[in-house]
Amino acid sequence: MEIFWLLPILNIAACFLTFFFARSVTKSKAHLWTVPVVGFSWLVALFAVGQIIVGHDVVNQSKEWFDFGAGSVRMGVHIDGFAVVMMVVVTSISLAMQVYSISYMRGEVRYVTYYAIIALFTSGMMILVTADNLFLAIFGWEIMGLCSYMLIGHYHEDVANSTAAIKAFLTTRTGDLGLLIGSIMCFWAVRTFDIEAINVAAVEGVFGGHLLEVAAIALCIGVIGKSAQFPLHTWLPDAMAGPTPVSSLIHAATMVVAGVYLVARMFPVFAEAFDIGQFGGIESVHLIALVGGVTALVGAFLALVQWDLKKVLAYSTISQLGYMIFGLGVGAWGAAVFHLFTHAFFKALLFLGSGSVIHAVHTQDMRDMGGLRKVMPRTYWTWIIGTLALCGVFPAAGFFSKDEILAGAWHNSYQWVWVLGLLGAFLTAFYMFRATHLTFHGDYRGHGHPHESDNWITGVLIALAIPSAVIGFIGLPGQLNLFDGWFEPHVVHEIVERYGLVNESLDTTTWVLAAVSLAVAAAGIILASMLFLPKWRDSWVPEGLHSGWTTRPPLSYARTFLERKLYLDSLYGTLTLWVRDSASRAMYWTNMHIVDRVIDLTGAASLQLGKGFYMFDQDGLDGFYNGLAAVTNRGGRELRRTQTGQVQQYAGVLFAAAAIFGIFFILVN
Amino acid sequence: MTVNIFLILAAFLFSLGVYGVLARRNAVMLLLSVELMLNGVNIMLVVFGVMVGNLTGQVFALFVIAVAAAEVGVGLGLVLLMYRNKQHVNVDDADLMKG
Repeated sequence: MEIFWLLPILNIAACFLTFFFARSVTKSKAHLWTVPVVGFSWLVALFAVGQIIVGHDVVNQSKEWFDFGAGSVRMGVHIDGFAVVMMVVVTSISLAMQVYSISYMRGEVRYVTYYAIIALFTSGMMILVTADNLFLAIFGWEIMGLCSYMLIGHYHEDVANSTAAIKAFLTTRTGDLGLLIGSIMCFWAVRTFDIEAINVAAVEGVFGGHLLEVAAIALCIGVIGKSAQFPLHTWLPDAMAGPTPVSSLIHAATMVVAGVYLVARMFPVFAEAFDIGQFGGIESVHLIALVGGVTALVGAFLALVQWDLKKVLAYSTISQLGYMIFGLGVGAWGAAVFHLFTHAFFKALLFLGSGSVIHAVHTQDMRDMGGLRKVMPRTYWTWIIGTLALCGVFPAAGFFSKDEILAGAWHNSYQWVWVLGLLGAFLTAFYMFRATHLTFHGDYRGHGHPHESDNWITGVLIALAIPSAVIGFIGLPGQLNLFDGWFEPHVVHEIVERYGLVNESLDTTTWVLAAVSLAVAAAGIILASMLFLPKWRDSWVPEGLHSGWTTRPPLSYARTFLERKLYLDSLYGTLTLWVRDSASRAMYWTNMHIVDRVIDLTGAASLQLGKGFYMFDQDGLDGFYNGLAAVTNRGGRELRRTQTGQVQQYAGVLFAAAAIFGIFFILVN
Repeated sequence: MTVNIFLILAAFLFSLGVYGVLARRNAVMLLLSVELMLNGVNIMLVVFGVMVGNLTGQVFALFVIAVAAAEVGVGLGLVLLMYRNKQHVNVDDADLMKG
């Protein structure tokens, strides 16, 4: 664990080596520089998990970076169980997608640049999760934003892709502003950027009141932007313009969970600011739970009507990020982090699976797929595992993590959030099986001859399918739960103890809740199958309604509403235009009437002032100096007369003066 | 009483010199008058030296005599040059320094 600080540096080094040397030396082997580095990081992270479980202390190493007078910024790492878990997520998914990309990106444009940016991105995420202060965390956060922008626009020959990249960048920047403001407020409140110190100050009440609330809201805006929460989620579906492995790493498993990570890392700040877990029922509404709950539901709704396979997954990611955020919002810290952990695996698996499909059929439109189960068996079975995990079907990973979040919401008296989450779970099962049926079942509707992907791709899929299937067992409720015991930071534990928050428990209610959510997921799966699995559908839906049953009122209204993405993009577009037009009109008016007036007045005042100075200069100063010169001149002319050149006259003056002095001294004495 | 006689002599000599310096027109006479003044002072130095009872006054007078000799040398040189240029030594005409 002591060498963790080295890992981001190694990855940055890999980035630069790849960028500058791989180009000329081994163009098609750029991965040879980055894959070993991330593989090494992965081994270190796994080793560190072992060390945490046997009780390794928190590692805290830092040194001063620079001093700006009001305080100093340090550069350091804070490695606790949580950071190690995040490192495992980052390195695992990064390793998987880099290996996957060897095959997937072979022969693509900018292969070298692609690997260089991936390595830089990996180091950015590592910096974020290991940083011991907010300044360094923002540093990593922004590295990721930059890499996300560059990778979304990887195929920038198509204008739509670079537009999507700009949209993603600007939308997240909107949130980043909140993060920056929040961080600076934390700094002024606690006089340090140190995250641990800020948390401790929040726990002890030193940092509190309205300042804390406003700081938490500002930070929350940063989270909403980065983690694609409602209403700033609109960039994430467009970000699917990037290569599919990028979507799996950046827009599913790591970068978008940066916001969730921040909330979890600074949980005491948010818990104190929003009074998490202190009230029950409708009183308990607060920003994080509300944003998370709404996002979980909105993302799931929007996923219902997508025809693009990757966009289904993108909205699904938004929805699942909503689960994590409201999991934190209801105080189920361990469950939310656990869901972050499991989600990274199964969502990366689904994205890479969709990449495998897209590779085979050369389209992302599910209307041109179908029947791929027979030609792509490995992709199909790994996809099914990922889908079951996402739907929360026992014993796949998502069952444990999602149910713990829902159970946490119930136990901590957030029943309204539980209802939202349960509805989201139903929709999740529905849209995932809709996508599965459209893609893999029925008859092939596209052109050409799809074939199974090569061993690199399927190997990675299988490698990710195993944890997606079984990794839920490390978060079993009870004594064996790693996320409550070993990975929970000390300050978070204090908050949990203080407000009696329940992360998980093994009572009857939990069993009932688990049974309910299983039943809901099963209902979603069955309903989706009845509508989209051709064999089942044909048996009960009338012939004329096989396709297009959603195109008639009243369903068509809802469908249009969802297909237009709740009109948010239009709203933002109109809003932006309106703001731009009004702002420019207002600025024109201000310019003509206020700025110009001020400038005119300033000019006139300057002119008068200049005249005054001119008069003062001419009459005052020049007069004075001219007078001085005249006096000197006249004096010189007069004094000249005494200089006669007559030696005897001088001598007379001399003797007269001597006589006067003599008389003077005699009289004085 | 003896001292007063010498002092009166010295004052008389000095005054005579002052009168000469201020009144005479001839440059040579001017220099001569300066010598009279110096010697008046010399007498005073010697008298006061004897009065105090050491040799300081007399030694000082010797120095004055030496300096006076040098002064006369320079002064006569100037007079000689003046005569060569103007064929006379009238100081009233020597007013080149008039401002």
